[in-house]
Formats: sequence, structure tokens, C-alpha cells
Amino acid sequence: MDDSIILLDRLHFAFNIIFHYLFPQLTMGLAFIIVVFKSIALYTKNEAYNRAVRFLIKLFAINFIFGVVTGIPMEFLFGTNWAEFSRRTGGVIGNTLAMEGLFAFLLESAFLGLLLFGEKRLTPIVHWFSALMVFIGTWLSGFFILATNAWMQHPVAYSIDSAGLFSVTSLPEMLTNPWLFWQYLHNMNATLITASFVVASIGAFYLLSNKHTESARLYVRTAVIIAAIATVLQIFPFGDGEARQVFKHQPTKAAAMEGIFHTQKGVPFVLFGQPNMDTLKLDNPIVIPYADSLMVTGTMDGEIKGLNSFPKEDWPDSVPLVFYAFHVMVILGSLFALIMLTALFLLWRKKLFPSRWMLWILMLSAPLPYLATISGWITTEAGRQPWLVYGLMRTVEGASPHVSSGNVLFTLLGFTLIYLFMGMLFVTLVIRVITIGPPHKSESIEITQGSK
Amino acid sequence: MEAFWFIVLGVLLTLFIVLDGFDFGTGIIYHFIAKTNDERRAVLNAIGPIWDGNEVWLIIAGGALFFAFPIAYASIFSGYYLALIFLLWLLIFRGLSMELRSQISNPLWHTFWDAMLTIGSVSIALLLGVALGNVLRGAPLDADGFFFLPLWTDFRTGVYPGILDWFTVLIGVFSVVLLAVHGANFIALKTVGVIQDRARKIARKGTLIVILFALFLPVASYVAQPMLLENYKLYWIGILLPILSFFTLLGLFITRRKDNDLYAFLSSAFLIVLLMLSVAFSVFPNMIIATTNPSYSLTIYNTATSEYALRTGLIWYSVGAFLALCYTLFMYRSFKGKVSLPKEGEGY
Repeated sequence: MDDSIILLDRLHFAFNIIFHYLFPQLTMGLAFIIVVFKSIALYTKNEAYNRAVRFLIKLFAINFIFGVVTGIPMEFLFGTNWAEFSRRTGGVIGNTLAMEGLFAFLLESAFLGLLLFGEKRLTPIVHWFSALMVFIGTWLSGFFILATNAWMQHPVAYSIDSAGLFSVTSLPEMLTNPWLFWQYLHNMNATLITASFVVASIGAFYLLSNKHTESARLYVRTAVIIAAIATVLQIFPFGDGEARQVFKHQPTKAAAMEGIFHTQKGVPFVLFGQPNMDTLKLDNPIVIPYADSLMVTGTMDGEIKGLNSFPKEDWPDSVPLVFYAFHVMVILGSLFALIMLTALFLLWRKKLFPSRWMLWILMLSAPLPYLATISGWITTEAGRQPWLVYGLMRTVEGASPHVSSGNVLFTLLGFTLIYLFMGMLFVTLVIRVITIGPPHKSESIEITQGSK
Repeated sequence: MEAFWFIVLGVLLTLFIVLDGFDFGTGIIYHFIAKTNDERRAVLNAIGPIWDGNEVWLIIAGGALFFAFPIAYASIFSGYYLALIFLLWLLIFRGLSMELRSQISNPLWHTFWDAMLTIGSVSIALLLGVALGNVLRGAPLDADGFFFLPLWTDFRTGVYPGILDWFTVLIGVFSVVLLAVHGANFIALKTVGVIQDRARKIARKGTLIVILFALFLPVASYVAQPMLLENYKLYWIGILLPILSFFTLLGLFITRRKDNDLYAFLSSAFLIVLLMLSVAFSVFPNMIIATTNPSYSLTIYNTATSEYALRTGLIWYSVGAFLALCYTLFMYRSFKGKVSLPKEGEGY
């Protein structure tokens, strides 16, 4: 088999999953925010929240559609490009992937139609219920996908037969994989950060351009409160918990993340630097002394294993990529907490809406959580290399044996073309929806009259 | 237990073809039944709110295949690599065409997505038929349980055919016609006036072509893969399937003549169910028939997942299927009746 095929297959999957996940990360977080708005509207009978949420639902719909049409390929790509992986581990991961389709996917699709077109046909409670079901559906979906990934990171509840085929031995054990706990919290909380940054950004844009101010204030206020809580929780305990389990179970990934080449005591935390794979040292390091040892082991001079304690064929094949991805995520994550705590403070002092500089920051930071999330996932997935199933099956063993690299490149180029087109389409449509904006008071009266 | 999951898989695939089938059918006849923007929007509002829910059955069927028969899943998906990727691309455009058309109110924008809808629907219907043809004909499996098929070779069946050959293309064309009739029946049921008249006319003509196909498809299948007759020799009860299909086809013809839209739609739906049943009955217990060496064939027994997974799957699948049924019914109830045209900017 030709060597380039593994790289092409990996690029193929990485490209598809990164593009796909641009959409669900907003969908999942936004579903939560929509439920919050609908609940407040239902509870306080304040129509302003209903008007404001109508726009969020529109935004949600476009995003959801792009998520669905790019998500359908994901289920097929396991089989098309990673057939040997599917053949051997299907007895385990087939369970969770099938569950996602059966339990989550249908739930989301069925209730999305009602959420989008049902406001006039349904009573407020049923419409609120549709929003809730869409939220549950998207978060369940996330759960089953992460359960699949968690098994690849930290295999549990499996047996291997003589032919190398994996079978699940306990479904409950697989679904309560200890790895999944922190991963789920960390990832789902990240979707809240993405969505609240996007909603805050749109609100800030309207306030700065002095349009739709009634809805805009609700967006900024609600989003800043959610984001302030989420960004803090993301660092502690969620991010901390996730990092601890990596140090405990995946020491090579952890060492690559932190750029630790040699096992040592009193390890500093690296803020900046470039891993040099020739000298096995960090170039130009800026560090906080002892911080890493303190965080990981609880003592200043605690020992942390470096890459040199492991055979080189077990190192991630791109240590610098893992290092940079991890650092982009950590630095952005800290920045998010700083921005949102400042915004929350201003909100509390009733100075947020007049502070144009803060609104500018909120408006411009919307793309950053996407970058942080992608970086986080690159850390997880590139850091898991050279393993496809950690410690059990190597990535080079997983590709489809009869699919040639020419065919893989052909479909990769095809996907690239289509997704470029779709990316442009998406941006155009979102800009249009934002330009039109949420309904004004007068429009909503007409809509209420139309309802029963 | 394996046989049970084979049935589940068959039911899911059939649900997908019956439900999403009328969406594809509607897309195929779209340009013939709807000429003005208002007419097109009326047609799109008939399938718009439900296509996504219908397509979910494909995902669920894919998931069930991966779960219950992972070895077959890996072999089929990598073997029909190109056809599957094309199917994915077409599904992307078909889905976008319905959802994005209403986003911008510009005639050129509408024309573009209208074209995408029809091109997508015709090609998907063709590909689904081709896929079914491939299931019937078999594939050149290697000893390692894998294969790779080019899109075409010499268009002949045999040991090393392409994904497209005379037989699979024939089934593909049949599938386009059948789904067009099915879609026309659905639109006749959901609309009134001029669109309904056009849909009825198309369904009537299409039914005649379906009957024409029905006369020689069984013979063609036998020529392409003689093994398909084995099960009929073994279990005489199978002879009921062609007989029932014949009567359903007759029913479709009569109800269409009388313009009884509900029964016509049910007839085309039931016809699809029977055809899928015949396919399943003919190939059982094979998942893929090997054209190379019969002993390489992938069957439900040598591709199934562990006994434990199949047994626990029984529990959670029942729960999931029940829930799925509940919200599918809830969804159809909420959008039941004839479509009414919402004002511009709302709906599709």
C-alpha cells in the first residue's frame, strides 16, 4: 500500500470533521440559549423575549441545515475511508453511532420543524417544549458522538478476539466511560461559549449601529451572563479535569501538549515557545517556573514524564502541532474569561451599554471560540496519534485496504470544492439574516393577531 | 438473532425509500408540475417540513448496518466508495436546495436551487436504484472480505463488473420512474387545483411505464444473478411476493384511473415495500453475494457483531424505535392536510 494514503485519509477526515463541527458547536450552544429565552418569555410573559428569540431561531435554522448536510457524510466516512477500523471496532463504536441516529437525530429533526414553523399553529407551551426537545436532541447527539470518541481515547468495556475484532462487553460501562465525564462537560461547555460569544457579538453590533436596540440589549445581557459563567467553569473545573486525565492516561499526549521533552522535576508551564524536533528542546521559551508540576502533581518539585521516557514510535507524529494547538486553546480560553468577566462587571455597574469600546471587543471576538474549539480538538486527536484506539490499534492499520490514494485525493478535492462553495453561501446567508435583524414591535403585533 | 437484525435493517431501508422516496419523486417531477413561483413554493411546502425527518431514516439505517453487521458495513462502504461519495454530495445539494431557496427572494437564486433540486433528486433516485441492482448482482469480493468497484468497466455483468452495468442502470431508471410516480401520488394528495391535475396526469402515465418495467425486470435479474432464484426454490412461500406485487400494481393502476389519491399513494408505497421485500428475500442470508467465489460471500452470519451487542441492541432499539414512531406521528399530525401557501418570507 502506498504510504501517502494514511496522510490523505487523515487529512480527509480532519477536513470533513472540522468543517462539519463549525456548525454543531453553535447549534448545541444556541439551542440552550433559545430555551433560556423561551423560558423567560413563557415565565414573565414578556413579549420582547419572544421577538428576540425569533431571530435566534432563524439563525439556528440556517446553521442547523449546514450541520445536517455536512453531518450525514461523517457517518459514511468511517466506512468509506477507514474500513479496516470500522471492521475491527464496529462491534464497539457501532453501538454508540447507531444510538446517535436513533435517539438524537430524529428527535432534533422532528422538533426543529415545529420550532421553525409552529409558532402560529402551536400553543406557547408546546412551542417552548419543541425548543426544549431540540436542545435535548442536540445535546444527546453530542453525548453519543463523544462516547464514541472517548472510547477511542480511553478504551473500556471491550474484548478482542483472535482475529483482532473488538466487541463491547458492557454497554452501560461504555456509556459511563470515566473519560467521557470530563470530555463531555468540557466540550458542551465550549459550545455554550461559542454560542454566547456569537449572540453577544450580534447584540453588540446592533447596539453599536443603533439598530434593534430592544432585542440587542437582551442578547448582550443574557449572553454575557451565560458566557461569564461558562468561561470560568471552562478553566476550572472542566479544563483542569480534562487535562488531569490526559496526564494520567495519555502521558505522551500530555508531554507533547506542554512541550516536555525530558522527564524532570519542577516543570515550568510554557507560555510561549517553539518545539525543536532536532535538538528536542523548546526554542525561545517564556515560562512560569514550577507551575506545571504544581498543577499536575500538587507539589512544586513533582516529577512529570517527558517524551524521552517513551519509545519514539509511540510519540504523536507531530509534536509541534499538538503543542501549538493546546497553547492556542489555553491562551484563548484565558482571554475569554477576562473579556466576559470585564463585561459582566460593566453590566453589573450598568455601564456596559454605554461602553462602546467593550461592545467593540464583544463584536469582534465572535470567531475566537471557533478557533479555540478547533484547537482543542486538534490537541485531542493529533495528540492521540500514532494510535487510532489508544494503546490498541495504530492509525496506519485503520484505512480502507482496497481504496487507492488517487480515489481518496479525488473525493478530498471534491469535498474541498463543495465546502468552499458552502462556506461562502453560509456567510452570505448569515450576513443577510443579521442585516434584516429581529422583528420590531409593530411586526410582532401582526404575528400575534395571526395566532389563535 | 442475526436474521432478526437483517429484518430490522430491511425495515429501516424500506422506511427510508418509502418516506424520502416521495421527496425525491417530488423533486423529479418538480419542473413539470410547478411552473410559477407560487406553485413551486406550494410544492416545496408540501415536502419542506418533513424531508429532513424522512432522510433521518437513511442515517438510522446506516447506523443499524454499522452496529449489527460492522464487517459488511466496512466492506460495502469502501467497495462502493465512489458511488457513496457521489450520493453524499448529491444529498448535500438536494438538502440545501430546499432549505436555501426561500432565503433570498430573487428569480435567479430560485432558478438555481430549483435546478439543483431536480438534478439532485433524479440522480439520487438513479443511484438508489443502482445500489439495489448492485445488491442483487453482487460484487467481486476478495478473500479478505473487501473489494473495490470502479464506476464502470464494460457495462456487462460478470465476475468483475463496474458499479454501473446494463443491469444496475436498468434498475436505476426503473427507480427514477417508480419514485416519480410515488412523488406524484403524494403531491396529488397534498395539493389542489392545477398542481394536483398535473401530478395526477404524470402519475397515470408513469404507472404505465412501471407496468412495462415489471414485465421484464424479473427476467433481467435472473440473467444478472441466477443465484437469486435459489430462495424461491427453497421456500415456495416466496412466490407470494410477485403475486402480491402484481395485484398492488393493478391496484395502483385502477386507483390512479379513478383519481383516488389516498389509495393511489398507499398503493405505490406498498409496491415499494413489496419490491424491497422481494430483494431481501432473494438475497437472504447474503449481505453481499461474491461474484468471484461463492465462499467469499458476506452473509449475515459472518459479518454480525457479538451476540451480547445484538441482544442488548434489542432492548435499546425497541425503546428508540417507539420514541421515533411517536415523534414521527406527532410531526405528520402537525403538518397534516393540504398545504396552504404562507406569505413570502415564511415557510419555503
